[in-house]
Order: sequence, then structure tokens, then C-alpha cells
Amino acid sequence: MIRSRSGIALVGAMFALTVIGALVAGSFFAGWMEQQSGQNLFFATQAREAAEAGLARAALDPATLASLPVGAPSYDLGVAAVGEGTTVHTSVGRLTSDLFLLRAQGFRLDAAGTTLATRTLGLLVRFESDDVDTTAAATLPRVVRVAERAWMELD
Amino acid sequence: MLALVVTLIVMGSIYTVLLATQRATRMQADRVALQSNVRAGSVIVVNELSELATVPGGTPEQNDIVAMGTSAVTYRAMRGSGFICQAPGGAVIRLAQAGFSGHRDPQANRDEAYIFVPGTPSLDVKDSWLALKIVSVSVASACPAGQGAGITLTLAASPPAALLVPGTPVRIAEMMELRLYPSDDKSWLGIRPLGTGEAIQPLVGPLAEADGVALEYLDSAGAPTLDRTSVSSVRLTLRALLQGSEGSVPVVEELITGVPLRNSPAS
Repeated sequence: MIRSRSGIALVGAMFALTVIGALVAGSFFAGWMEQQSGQNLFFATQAREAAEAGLARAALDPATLASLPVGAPSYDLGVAAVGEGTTVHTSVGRLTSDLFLLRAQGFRLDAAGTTLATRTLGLLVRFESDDVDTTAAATLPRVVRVAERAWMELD
Repeated sequence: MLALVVTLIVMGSIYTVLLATQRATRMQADRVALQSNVRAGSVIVVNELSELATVPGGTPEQNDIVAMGTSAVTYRAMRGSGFICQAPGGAVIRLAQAGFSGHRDPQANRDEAYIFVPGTPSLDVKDSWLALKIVSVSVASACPAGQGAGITLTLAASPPAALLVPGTPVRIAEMMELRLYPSDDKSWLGIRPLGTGEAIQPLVGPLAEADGVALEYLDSAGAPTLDRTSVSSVRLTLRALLQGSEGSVPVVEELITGVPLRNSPAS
């Protein structure tokens, strides 16, 4: 009596292929997770850099600052594109008679404009009067960064 | 008989392939975890250090790097900032909860409050900050004039009343230590708050035993400096180890990060 065993090789091969496939899929999944994690960190870094750029490029007009009431809601300085998919929203608020908080919120957006990461930084600036110069142009005080611990992470 | 031999050979080959694939997969997963670990640790260190202040030749209160070494640093970390909404009197100040931002709320006997002291440029007096220990924290009382919830801090001493103008910024800081330390026969980069007496907790690891962490302190010109008041950036090198199968050479993952100190005058 002859029994055919030709199917066993196919079953064995299928089993081995399934196991190898699962291992390879697991390997790809780990790689995908790594890529996602790295990308999220990259987006967060881009948002932070956008906020940094917002602080660095904010043009603070002394006349505008002088017109802000103490303790009033922040004055909106607008939204600017910093790079591909990154924008920064800056605003400034008057804390005391001479002291202001410049706030820059950096965003990393996707193609549809959905926020992928955001970071907010702040910079304390103040009026600095020049008692020596008495020309008309000097009647408005200069705006300078406070001397110590001006830079702060806000969110 | 021939079929049996061929089957055994094929099965043996399949087993070898499976074993090799499984080993490679595990190794790759371990390596991915190691890379993620090192990268996340590096980001935490950047966030910890970037807000530090230094003033060349300044006082201990002006300089946030308290001690520095090649594998350890003790520093004053910023934990939050807010603005005075009310000064009820004595050593008590109240911050507006709405304007407070930070990793956590202030904690008594752990944190210090840094109150902004405006300078007088015409007299060549620069802006500074007055540091006072926080002895109690309460959220029971609100700020006046509809400013919402408040965080009431009782300080170790009364600041001059003239400083406590509503809107004055207050920064919250605590002393921290970051260092390479051994645990379970491995080396780790650990972190701990010094004010609470907590044991050090691992942040990244396992790292290379001798040189798993390398901290270099650079001045405004980018040159190494031993003067902690002149540091304007820190270069952090993390070397993590991945021990493969027995007899194999361990994989070393190295990540170098530059951290500019944003509150250093030269940064």
C-alpha cells in the first residue's frame, strides 16, 4: 500500500514562510515605530526652532508698546511663516510700567494645516530710557532684553 | 530513506534560517529601543539645561551651574514661571494661575522663587532676581479683581514691598543633579532633585561604563572652559551599549548634542 506524502513539504514550507513573514513584519513594525518616534521629536524641534525664530525676529515698536495698558490682554503681532510647514505666532503683553513679555508660539503643521507639534517660548523685555540723549527721537525709550534670565520656556 | 534525509536537511536549513531571522529581528528591535532611549534622554537633557543662566564673574544666585564635571553636573533648573497678581503682605505673594506655566506647580521646601528686580540703567544698576526659598504653597485663595485662581507662596523671608508690583515675573527653580552612575552592573545617566533627598533615577541607559556620558562646557567663543560662570553652551555625548549574543562585539550608539544656554549673555 502506497500513501502519498507529497503535501508535507508544502505545509512545512508554508509554515516556515509564515513564521519568517511574522518575524520580518515585526522587524518592520519596530522600524516604523522608531521612524514615528524620531519624526515626532523632529516636529517638536522644528516647532521650538520656529518659536526661537519668532523671538529673534519680532520687531517691537516702542510707540506701540508704550500704548499698551498694563495687565491688558496681549497685543497680537501676527503669524509668520518661518519655513516649510512651520509658522510662529507672536504677541506681547505689558506686565508692569516698564516690563513686557514677548511670547512666541511655534507650530509644525502638516500639508492640510493640522498642528503636528507646538512649542511656546517667552522673552522678557523692558523699556530703557536714555537720560543723556535729549533729541526728539530719543523721547521714546529703547526696548531691550532684561539683563538676566530673560528667556523662558512657557509650554 | 532518501526522502527522509532530504526532509531532514531541508528542515535543518529552515530551522537555521528561522533562528538567524529571529536573532536579527531581536537585535534590530533592541537597537531601535536603544536609539529611542538615547534620543529621548538627549531631549530631556536639552530641556533641562537650555534655560540655565550664567553671568561671567557673577554671584552664586546669578549662575545656575553649581558644579560641573565630565560626567556630572549640578544645576538650578527652572520649573515654571508666573506673575504676581497680589502681595497680601509679609513674606506672602500670590501668582495668577492663568499666567503660570511650568512642568508642575511650585512645591514647598523644594523650590525657590526668583522675583524680578528691575534695574536702573541710568545708575548702571542691572536687572536681577531675588531668590527666596518657598516654605508653603496654597491654592485656596484667588487673585483679586476677577483674575481667577491664584497660587499663594509663603517665602522664607519678606521681599521688599516695592518689588511686589502686580505683573512682576516670578520664576520657580530647584537644584538638580545629572550624573553617570552604576546600577545592576551597568552604567546609567541618572537625575535627581537635591532638595528632596530622593534617590537618583535612571534617565538613559545602559551606557558605556567609563565614558557613557561626556559633558563639555564651552564659553562664548566655543572653547572649553573650566569657569562655570563663563559657560555659554554644553556639549553632551551619550554612548549607549547594546550587548549582542555571547562573544559578539557590543554595538555602541553615540549621540552628540549641543545645548546653548539661552540665559547666558553670549548665547
